[in-house]
Amino acid sequence: MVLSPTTWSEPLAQPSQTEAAQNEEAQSTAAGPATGQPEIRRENGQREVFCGLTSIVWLHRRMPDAFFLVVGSRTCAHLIQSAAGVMIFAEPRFGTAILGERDLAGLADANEELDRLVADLLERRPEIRTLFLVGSCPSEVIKLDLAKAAERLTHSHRGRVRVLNYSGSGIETTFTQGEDQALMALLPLMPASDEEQLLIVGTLADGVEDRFMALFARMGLPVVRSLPPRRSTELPPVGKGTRVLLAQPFLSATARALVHRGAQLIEAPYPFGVEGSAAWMAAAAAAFGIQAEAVATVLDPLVERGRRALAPHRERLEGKRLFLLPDSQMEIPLARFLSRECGMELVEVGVPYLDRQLMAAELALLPAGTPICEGQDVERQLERVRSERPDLVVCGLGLANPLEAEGIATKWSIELVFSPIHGCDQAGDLAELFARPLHRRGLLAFS
Amino acid sequence: MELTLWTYEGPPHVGAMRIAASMEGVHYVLHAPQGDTYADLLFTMIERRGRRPPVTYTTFQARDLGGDTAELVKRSIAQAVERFQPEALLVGESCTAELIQDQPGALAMGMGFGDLPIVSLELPAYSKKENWGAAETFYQLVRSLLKNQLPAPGTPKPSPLLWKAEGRRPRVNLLGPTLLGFRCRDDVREITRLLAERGIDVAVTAPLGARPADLMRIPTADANVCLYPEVAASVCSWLERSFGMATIKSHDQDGADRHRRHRGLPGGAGPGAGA
Repeated sequence: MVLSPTTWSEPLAQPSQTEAAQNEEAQSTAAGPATGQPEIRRENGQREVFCGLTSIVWLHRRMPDAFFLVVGSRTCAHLIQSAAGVMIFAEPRFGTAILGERDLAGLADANEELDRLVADLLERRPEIRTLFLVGSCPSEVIKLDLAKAAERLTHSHRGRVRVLNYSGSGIETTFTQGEDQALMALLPLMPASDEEQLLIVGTLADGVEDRFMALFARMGLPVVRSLPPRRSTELPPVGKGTRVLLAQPFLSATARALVHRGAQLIEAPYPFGVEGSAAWMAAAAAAFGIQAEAVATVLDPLVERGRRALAPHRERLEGKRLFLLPDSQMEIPLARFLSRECGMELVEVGVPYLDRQLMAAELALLPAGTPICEGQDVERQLERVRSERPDLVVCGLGLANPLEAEGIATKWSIELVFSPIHGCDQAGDLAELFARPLHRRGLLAFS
Repeated sequence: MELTLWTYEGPPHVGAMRIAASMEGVHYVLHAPQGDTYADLLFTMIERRGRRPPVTYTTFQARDLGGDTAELVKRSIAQAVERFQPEALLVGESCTAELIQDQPGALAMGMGFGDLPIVSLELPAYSKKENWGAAETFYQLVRSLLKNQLPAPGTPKPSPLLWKAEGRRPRVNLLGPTLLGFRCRDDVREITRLLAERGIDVAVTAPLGARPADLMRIPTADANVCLYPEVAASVCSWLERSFGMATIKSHDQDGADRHRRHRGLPGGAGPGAGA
């Protein structure tokens, strides 16, 4: 049996319906509950999200030959350490050049200091191939030109290390946008080539990446590469023959910059859940003219297995009300998955920033009228959480325990950035991440 | 510029947060860029409090820097005071805000909050660290709240035997325990019990669990135990100079005994030692 892509975009089961709704649905053309325009509002107040420096925590794991040097204050050093959350025994692949009063006094000093520090670092860590100078709020406010510093240092360490620069400051970047900026720093070094290739863009866990590569190979895609690569010195090329497939929804600048270099952007939902992952892979295959039969042969069994893995968790999540606070920009695709494949009801989906173009395919799949809030006023949003009393709130670590103390079940949003959640194979695990807090509450409830 | 791979202390405004969060009824408005809210998780995850720390952040971004950040500060202060109705307000900046010099403390003072004690914090972020920030904040807060109680210059120091004259047990304050300290809660419990065994009451424990009104009772004690010098040394030194209150800080048992005997306090090297 050949499953067409539209089959995969149907929700797994219909929610219970009144007769009127059933009649209405029988008359609608596309299968599935009414989708379409969500309700988007904006808020502007205190934002309870990480800055872009935090993305260093997973970027440095992705590229073991790179070092991330934040040029900033003690606050930056403290943040990275707190976000990394582990005692650092061996020397890690990130650090902070902490600005002192002397550096603030005269910028000539700051550049000399930076050069001295970098020389010292590179001598101690000869295995570093790429050094990222990461801009912070203080370095930007004092207008320390890290781009120029990077050029200068690349020149003085030529042949050994490339020194690049990007901004991870909270002034410029929200959390996962740090990765967007890091990839932008790599872009100019990607060689030009018209070679036909699929370029998967966005950091994936190594195991997940390997899995996708194997699946695409089985489907018959010619060349598949990743950005960021595992070796910072082995960057993929880009050009007319490149088809960009975004693995993550927060790479606004990188996606557009790749298009600017001649690549084409594949429009698809993001690979969360069975439906999203299958559609994502099918879209990639279609972009290379792979026959639907070949695609189905590979995907059908995955879809089947993924749905079976999801089923027990869906039971727990079905009908439960979900509120997502803004964090990583992954909220919309995750909400789509939890609504369509797990039967959750979306109370509010918060996003720090909405890139309508990159979210188009996802927005079209959300239930009509889904309340989306772009930006944040955390106190007001928490008031809504309290008055709505959702069954589950996805939020950051600064808010989770206080909400739990108020009797509201929470899911740490940061887990979604660090767990392998992409692909059909991970759909069950992804659902389980959300089912787990509800399961735990059930176990702890004393009758 | 210093290469840092690991640090034991955060920036000084985190020390200020520790003071605010350790107390009740104190709110801290922090002028800071987006992302500085990471500090909340230190209290909700490491300390595992069921409440967020009492901090409002302005979380300015690039687009705000093009406009009037002073207005943003005033709006944040106004909203925080209205929502949280604090008994004392701390106003300060993190490292980045220090660079844009909006003077949030001065802005707060000019907003006409009447009797609300407002402490404008100046914590040099590029030279000082977390413990210094905590000590400075505690010191400024105590000074601000006690300024109306300062004895007139030339007032003689209170007698060490005042407690006897007043026919009551001697009492001390325990100063310095904070959230994110090491075993502070346990130490407070233990020391309170040990003192009680020796016939000594605890008047105020601060900042941990204290309200601004409790800080105002500090001078009613006979002496201050500087439980954590890294947080309370400045306060104790100021209390000594301003109110003539002795500071008890020795770990040395003989020294502690001698001191207690000098003060006329009961207790000594063992149970039953008389005054």
